[in-house]
This record gives sequence, structure tokens and C-alpha cells, in this order.
Amino acid sequence: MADRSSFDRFREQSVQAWDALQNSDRTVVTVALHGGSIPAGAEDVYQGLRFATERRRIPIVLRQTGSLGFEFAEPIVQVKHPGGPTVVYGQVTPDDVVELVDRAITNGGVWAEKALGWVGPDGLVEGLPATTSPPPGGEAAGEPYQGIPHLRDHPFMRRQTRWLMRRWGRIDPDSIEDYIANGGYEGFVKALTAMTPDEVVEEVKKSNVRGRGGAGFQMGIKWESGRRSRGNQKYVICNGHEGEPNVFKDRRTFESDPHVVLEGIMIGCYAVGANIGYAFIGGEFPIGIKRFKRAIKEAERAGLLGKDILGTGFDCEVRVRIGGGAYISGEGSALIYSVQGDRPQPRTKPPRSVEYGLWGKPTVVNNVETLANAPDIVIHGGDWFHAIGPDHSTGTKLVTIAGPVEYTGVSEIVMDISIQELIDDVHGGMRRGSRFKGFQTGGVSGGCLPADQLGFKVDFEDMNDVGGMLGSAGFIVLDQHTCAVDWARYLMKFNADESCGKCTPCRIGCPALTEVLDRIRFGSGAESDLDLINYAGKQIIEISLCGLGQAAPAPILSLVENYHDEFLAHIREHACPAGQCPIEQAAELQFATVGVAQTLDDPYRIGRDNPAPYRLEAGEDFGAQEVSRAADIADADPARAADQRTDDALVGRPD
Amino acid sequence: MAQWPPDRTPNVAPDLPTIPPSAPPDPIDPGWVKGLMEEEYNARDWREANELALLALMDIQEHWGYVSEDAAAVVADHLGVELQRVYSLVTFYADLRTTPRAGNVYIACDGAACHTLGSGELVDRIFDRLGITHKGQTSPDGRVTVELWSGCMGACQIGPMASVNGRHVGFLNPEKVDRILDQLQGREAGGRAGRQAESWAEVPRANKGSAIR
Repeated sequence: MADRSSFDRFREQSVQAWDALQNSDRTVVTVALHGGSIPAGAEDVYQGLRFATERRRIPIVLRQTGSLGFEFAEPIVQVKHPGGPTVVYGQVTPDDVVELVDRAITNGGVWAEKALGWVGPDGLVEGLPATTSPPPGGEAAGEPYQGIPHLRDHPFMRRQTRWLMRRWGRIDPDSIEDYIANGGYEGFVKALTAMTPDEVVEEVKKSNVRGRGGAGFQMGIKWESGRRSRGNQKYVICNGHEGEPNVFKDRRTFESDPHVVLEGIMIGCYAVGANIGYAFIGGEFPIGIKRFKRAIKEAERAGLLGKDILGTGFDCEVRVRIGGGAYISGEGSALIYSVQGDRPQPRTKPPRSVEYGLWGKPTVVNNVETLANAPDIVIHGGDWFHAIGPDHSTGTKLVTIAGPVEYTGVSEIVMDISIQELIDDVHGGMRRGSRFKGFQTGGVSGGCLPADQLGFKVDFEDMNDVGGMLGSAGFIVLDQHTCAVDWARYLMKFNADESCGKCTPCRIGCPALTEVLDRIRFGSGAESDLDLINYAGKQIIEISLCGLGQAAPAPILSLVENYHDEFLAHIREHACPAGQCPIEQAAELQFATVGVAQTLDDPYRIGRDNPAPYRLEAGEDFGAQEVSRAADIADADPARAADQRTDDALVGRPD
Repeated sequence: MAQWPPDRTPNVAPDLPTIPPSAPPDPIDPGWVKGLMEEEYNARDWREANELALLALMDIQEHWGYVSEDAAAVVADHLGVELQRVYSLVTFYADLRTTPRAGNVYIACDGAACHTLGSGELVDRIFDRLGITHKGQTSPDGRVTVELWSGCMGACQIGPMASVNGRHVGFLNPEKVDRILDQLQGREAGGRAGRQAESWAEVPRANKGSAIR
């Protein structure tokens, strides 16, 4: 593309194509195809829909899209009849395809039992005011459509703020036209044609956006030092490795909206003064890699990558590098070695990578989600971004929660809600039969918080104070079936397996701690083992080389502190209260539980025995959750509360 | 164990072809590797050559299931990188194997979410049943290789899950695992016998990614 005007023409064409799709006189059927839905059978649904409609000669437009975040309801099919809104159907298994065609695709019908909600033409950020203000919170939008509520009224959506995810589930991730028609590449073009690199850095600094990958370092400061450092060649690397268990927000970003990451890398290249950007993607998500590679090809075809972009004289090239399944590759310096094709082992810092990075050149390394924020910051300005959320944690955050919660999936929140609200109001509380026990923060590197610490906010500052860690906002909820010792041993084993072996405290310390924890698990531990864990853990934290080694024992230490009585039960009584550890006898031990509030008459609830995703009969018995916050225990059962206090006193646990 | 999940999943044990036990694993064809390198991995400078080594190894792993010394030598030779540098990558990364694996590959996810839902017990059960002790081993009958994935496969909502011959199966419980292993080992199970594959070509390679359009 030679200049700005040709980009504008391309955008006009894209908008026209998008409008034509929205106003199509055919029924538009969209199947979510991504790493979370394909295991649930979405490919079969896609093929089945194609087969069934071709066979019966029903004219439809069949599209693919990325994730909507509703992973618990996969496979998701969206149906838009001419003139109507898009209706989102959840849990459409391959067996349901024929019925879906019958009830929801032919003759403009809807299948209310399977519907999650409806969405208007603007998606989930419907009613967004002027973009100079923060995106709206979770207010309800719209009347029910044929008895189906708006998707915003779904309990999973009420407290969410969809901003970064606003294109997810709407655009075809393989289509640059869809992306451009939905505001894509505007930020890059604006930066390139109307702003100097220093102005871009200034806006990013003003926005106060912090790194989403774990450390929470300010992106603006990183870019500024990258800009200032001298070198004839600089690099920008997008860290999309995400080797932590249960964190999948970055891979969904690659799968659902790859262009926004690419645009972020390109803006970063322009701001820093680099002309080569790298995307380092974990080898575990082939679909994300495929879509991102295609995004690069399409951008090159559209003239947005390559030499002399839009006639401004700016050159940019983006390369994809793939990791080989090593958790350590996510660490900054190790990542650079991995991109170089060396063994990914961290090195001592300083020099920091912005001074001495890839091939000895200044290199800026940013997380996927951080870079995905860059286009919006450029378009709307740093002040706009700064106004979202609290001062120290600006912007929205993608969150993944795994474990026995009702709504698993990717959610996007403004960082001003508490952990309790995140579990209860966003992710739907605990599943039936599960009582809350612990909240593992920061993937595998943060503390594990018990029930009485759930009032803290999900942001960069508050969670550090409480001994947790926001990290990449991948959280795990533990229920009563998970034993604290077994969990500690699992985390330690993970760290022992994934230790790169360069520095001794981590290489020797992690397996040693695994052994100690194994001893406790098998019922042959001694009370001195707990002191040993504390001592050795602190040693590892102090003298390990890299951030991952320093974080490795953190969850274990917090588990020993917060679930001290459970450890003691293993040691003194040779009993595993959760019945997980290989000790013969299991005893009932009281541990602090939190009842995560659930209303039984919630019509949206996906009951586990009910394949229809919502509209359960009111009053149906789900096995009521015990509401047992400490205060509620005291109200309901003073004797039990007294027992609890006695227990706490016996094991010397502070209140 | 948690009551969740119920047995109402859309995933059933896949009808996988199994292999005759006498079939030997394919040795990696150096000519194939050479062709791959010449076609896709031509570095513009020494830096890029170094960077491309890992990508080439991943491709070989994906296609052949392991990376042999000979294959690594071809890669090193073509890129002009020392062999020990290339081979050091093979021994470092968890995705790369140095020994061939069986025709059937069962990759059990032991990510945190799956672990909380009980995958640890399932893995113990699989190991006991197949008579192996460590991840990456092949069962004595030469039919199934079990890998343990300590990261995450990104399908936490169907956990505990596994990737069987490149296909994700979810909501696993002991009975379902038994059914899958019966199929992989070619035994009669619940009226569904594993079909004998005609040749190696019919056996899907694991870790291939999804056949998405």
C-alpha cells in the first residue's frame, strides 16, 4: 500500500464488506473455533452445520470466529437472522446440530433452551459512550429478544467490562478485513502518520499501563529506556509463551484476535525505533501460531508490514519464533536466549535486556496482553486509559480461573473488584459439591490465599500486600477435595521439573523440597520438616538467579502458613483430611471454608446434570451450598465456631 | 474425588486405529530432513541460522515423533551451526524427544486445573496399568507411549483431559481412561474393539495440532 489514502480505501472496502455481512439477507451462522472449543467438538459442529444446510439447501453464511470467553458453554454457535440480533447458543454438541438447524436456523426461529443471550450489532460493548470516557461497567443493556435476555445480563457478563475482548467472538481471526472494519490498525496508522515516536512513548507513559505478564513493570518506562538506549539495531519481542499451568488468556488472544497483537508489536517497533519485531509463541497452541502467521501474511499483503509502510519510510518486519515447551522460556533473559536458538537459561541482570538483549542489541520484551493495549492507548490517549480502574492498576485485565468454579473461561475485568467478587459474581461461584478452600494466585508462583483473605482487590498492589501475586492473572480455585500438602507437592514438583538447572538453589532445592513434601504426604514427616521447608524456601528465594526460581517456593511457604493445621494433621495424626494423600486413614478436619453465595433460583445457572445451559426450574434442588463464612458460622452454629477457634488456638494459628 | 464431571460429555473415546505390534517405528529419513531444510529454512545470516534451529527441530519432532542424532546433524549441517548447539536444544526442551515413540501417544495433561480435578490419580492408574514408571516411556507391548504435560493444553473447562493421538478427550474418569487404553492396546472393550490399522500411514501422529481448516 503506497500511502495513507490507499489504506483508507482498503478500510472503506472492509467496512462495506462488514456491513454487507451484518445486513445480509441470509442467516449468518458463526461457530467459535479455537483451542477451547475444538476439544468440545466445535469442528464437528462446523462440519455438521455445513453438511446439514447444504444437504437441505438452506442458504446460510457459515463463518468461524474465536473465543467469546464462555469456555464453559463450548461449543458456541451464533446465529443471526436477517434483520434480527445475533443469538448466542451454548453447548451445541455435534448431536444437537440437526435440532439447531431445525429450530434456530430455518424460518428465523430461535431455540430458547440453548440460548445464552442475544447480542446487538455492536457486540458486548454496546452503548459505549464517546471513547474519551472509560468503557461502561456491567449495566444491563437491552430488552429480552423473543424471551432471550441480552448476553450482558448473563451472570458471567454482569461484572465484566469487555474492552480488550470486544472483537473476540465477532470477527473472523483469519480475516484482516474484519479486523480493520472493527477499528483495527487505526492506532498504528495514527502513530505512524500523526505522531512522533516520542509522543507515542509519552502517551504510553501517561497511561500507566503495567506489564500483564507477571512482573507488572510499567510498559511506558520500558519503552522509554528502549527508545533512549543507543544501538543501530533494536528489537521488540512479544512474549507469548505462557508456559504456566492453567493460564490461557494469551493463547486465546492469539486465537481470537491475532491482529491486535501484531498491531501492538508494530506500534512498539515504531515507538522504540526497532524495525524487527519477534513474536515468541509457545509450541502448545498450534491454532494460535497458525492464525498469527496468517495475520502477518495478511498484513504484509495489505502493505502494513514491510518496507516503506504507507509511504512514511518506516520499515517493519515481524517474525514468529516458537518455544519448545519449557516454562523457563517465559523469563525475560531466557526468552531472549530461546529466540536466539540457544538453551533458554537466564543470566544475571544488569545489564537489562533493554540495554543488552537479543544478539546484544537493545530489546524490549512485552507480554501479549500488554502489547494488545497499545493500539487503544494510541487512539484514545494515555489519559483515557489512565481513567480506567485505580491509579496503580490502570486498564482492564484478562483473567482466567480454572478449577471447580461454575463458569470457567476468560473474563475481562476492571481491576477494582475483590477476589470474592471475582469468584462469586464473575465466575459464578463454586460448582455443586465443591466448597471453597483456597485461591492460588499468579499461576504457580504466587501465594495460596485462604478464605479469610478474599476481600482483597484483584490488582497489582493489593495482592502483593496479602502475599499473593497478580502475575498473569491466571488463578486456580481449590476445593475441599484438594489437599494442601498434595497441592504444595504438585507445585514444587512442577518447579523441580521445569527448573532450567543453571543455578544451584533452584536445581537442588526444588527437588529437595519435593522430597520433604512427599515425606509428609506419605505420613512419615516430622514437625521439624515444616521449619526445614521455611528455611530452605527462604534460601531459594534469596539466592536464586531468576524471577521464576525466586518465586518457586512462594506458594509452598504460604501454604504452610495458611494451612498449617492440615500439614500438622499429616505429621501428627497421619491423616489426610482431604483424602488425597496416600495415607491409610483419613480424618475429618475442619478447615476454613467460604460459602460462595449461590442462589438456587438463578435461571442462568448451568446445572451440571442439565445439558440446557439455562432456565432451570426455580426451586430445583442442586444440593444447597453451605454458606459458611466465618461470621455466618458464628451466627448459625456458635458451637462449631467455638470449635474452630479452639482448633486455631491449638495449632497456634493467629486469628 | 469430586462428583464433577458427570458422564454427559460430547467427547467419547475416539475410534482410533491401533497398530500391529510387530510394526517397527520409522527411522527418520535424512533425505526428508534435508528437503525440509532446503525448502523452508534458508537463513539470511548467521543470527537467523541460529534462531531457525529450534523451529526446524520442532518440525521434525512434529512429523516423526522424535529427533535423532542424524536428523540433528542434518539440521546443523544445513544451517552451519555446530552440532552440539543443536543437540543441546533437543535435550533441553520438553517437547523434543531423542527416542522414537510408539504409534499411539497418550499425553496426559497434569496442568494445575486438571490436577485439582484429579488427573494425578488417573496418571497413576495409567502407569500401573501399562507397567511403566516414568513419563515418556512406552508400554512393554510397544503400543502406547505416555507423556505427561505439566503445562496446560488450554482446555481446562473439560478437565481432567488428555490428548490421545492428537485428539483432545475430556472429563476423564477411570472407566473412560480404561476404555481409551483398551482401544489403544487393541483389546476388546465394551463392545468396541480397536480396529487394526493397515499401515503406519493410517496411524495419526500425535501433537499434530488440530485439523482446523
